[in-house]
Amino acid sequence: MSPDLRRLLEGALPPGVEWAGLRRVRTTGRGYRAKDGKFDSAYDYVDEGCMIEVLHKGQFGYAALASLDPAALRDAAEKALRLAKAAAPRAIHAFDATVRPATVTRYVSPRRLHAAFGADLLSRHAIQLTQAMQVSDRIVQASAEIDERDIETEIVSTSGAAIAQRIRILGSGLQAIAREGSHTQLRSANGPRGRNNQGGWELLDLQGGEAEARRIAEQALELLEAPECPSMTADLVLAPDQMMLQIHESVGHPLELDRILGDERNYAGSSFVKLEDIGTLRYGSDLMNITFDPTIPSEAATYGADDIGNPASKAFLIQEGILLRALGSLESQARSGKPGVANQRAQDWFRAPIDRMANLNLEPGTDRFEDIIASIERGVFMEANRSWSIDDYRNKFQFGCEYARLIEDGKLTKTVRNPNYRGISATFWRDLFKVGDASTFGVFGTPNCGKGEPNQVITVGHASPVCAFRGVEIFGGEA
Amino acid sequence: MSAAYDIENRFNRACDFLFRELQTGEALAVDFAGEASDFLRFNQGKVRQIGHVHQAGVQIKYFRDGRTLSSAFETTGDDSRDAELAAHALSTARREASLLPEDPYQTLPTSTETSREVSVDVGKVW
Repeated sequence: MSPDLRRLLEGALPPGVEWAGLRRVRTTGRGYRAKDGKFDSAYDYVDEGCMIEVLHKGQFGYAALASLDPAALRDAAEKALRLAKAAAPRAIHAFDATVRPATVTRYVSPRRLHAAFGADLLSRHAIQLTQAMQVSDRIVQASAEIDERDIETEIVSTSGAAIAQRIRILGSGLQAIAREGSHTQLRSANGPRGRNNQGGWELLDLQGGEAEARRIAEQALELLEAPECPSMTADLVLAPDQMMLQIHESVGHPLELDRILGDERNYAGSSFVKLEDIGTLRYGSDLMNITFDPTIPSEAATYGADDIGNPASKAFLIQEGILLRALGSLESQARSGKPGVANQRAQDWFRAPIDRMANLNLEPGTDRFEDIIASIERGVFMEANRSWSIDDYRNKFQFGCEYARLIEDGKLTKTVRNPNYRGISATFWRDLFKVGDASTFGVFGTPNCGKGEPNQVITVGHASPVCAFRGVEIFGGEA
Repeated sequence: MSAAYDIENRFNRACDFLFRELQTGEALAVDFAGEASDFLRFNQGKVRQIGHVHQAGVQIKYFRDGRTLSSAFETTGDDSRDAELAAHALSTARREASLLPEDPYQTLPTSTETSREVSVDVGKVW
């Protein structure tokens, strides 16, 4: 905790402020890209600033600036108060300071390896990964990326909040594109930017990376030779790296409480879920247990408190298929009277926190992978997201995957290309009939979740076991 | 106009500092984007959130000995602090770029054209 932050806040406030808070964020990041056996690009940045927030007659006003200069903070506080005063008579809800709890907590991402890898090692490693993917002249593009972010957040308030968090996220990606004639196939490491986890450099597999890169390239070539995924209604088995997208789009977004309240209607969209559904809606089968879980150490959006200071704890959003609570922050809870979680998050110091996903997971079941496959007479096992489309109520969707294998008479058989499926969120999850055990559980995350005006792009985590859905409309690239 | 003037001045000061500190064999491209904006989010004809953002960031692309590194930092409006931030960005770029492999696609900035775009929308909500 910066020793001066509370003093700076108190020194900045005009007289008569009911409540005020100050959130300082400092982010450093660096990344390395390689393509086709050569260096492609590298970056390094520092971003630091703060947001001061005041409460006046039920309305919050904020002002963000890249300075902790006392005079600049005073100007910012006055501006925030002026805006809050102007808006208070037209506020959508009269908030009080209970939506800014006086939380005192610290959180630091766990790391096993504290040493930092240098730019030379990381850029060379990225190049080697792309060289390893060049297993054939039909591999027309091989790319690798490595990204590191270190995010320090401090929050203090006039009511006593004192929060210090330091989150370190490592992201990595591999992608091979194979082409023969006019046909192109892509294979990657768990889909586009799907590998983002908290931790240290132990997350980067320096030893096994090249073997994985070769496998990815070989699978891209395998897809070139593979037949199209057949069009049929059959059982669908999804790997955790596609469950990530399935959970994100058809559970996460529709359960954002501000979206249900209409805040996002003109931009990110609305939701097929209604306020009165919370507590009663059968969202999925009895096997569906969805949690907001900030307790998995390596998951990308694990934290101690959200950006308004609400302490984060694990909560079931959906239990045995019944919708119990939404992704609603303290503000959305106050507006709706519905239960929620600690999910009011901001992209950075210059954006106001809103309801976001964080770690949104499907809890493991009891089935081994082999038993799930053995239980299916005719189906498809799909891995890694390739494309997605869903309507603005987050209901009707169509998703594509990179790689798939047919399931015939209880066995995985031939590889098929261009696998896709479509469904409707409101009913799709009711056809969940198998949930893998802990041995099938994968922890992924993406830095690419977008929402809000002005737009905010935020990191979320999704963990899931392998899951199977009954009677899904499946189709290939020629459908 | 004062906010836009302040933002443009920050850019000019950052450029002055960065190019003055350049050593033989080094090249830079500098981009800058800033805003001083009021944001209001509405729902049902009422105010959901209201606030103000003042930010101005510098992005640099550093070139030396066939190496390339992109870097960025946020300016504060305080001249001496911004000079420190620019100096830190430049020294980090020098150190990190020296560790990188050669950039086979490097294209040094040679254009002498200039462009300037300042958008000022002054409005009063209430």
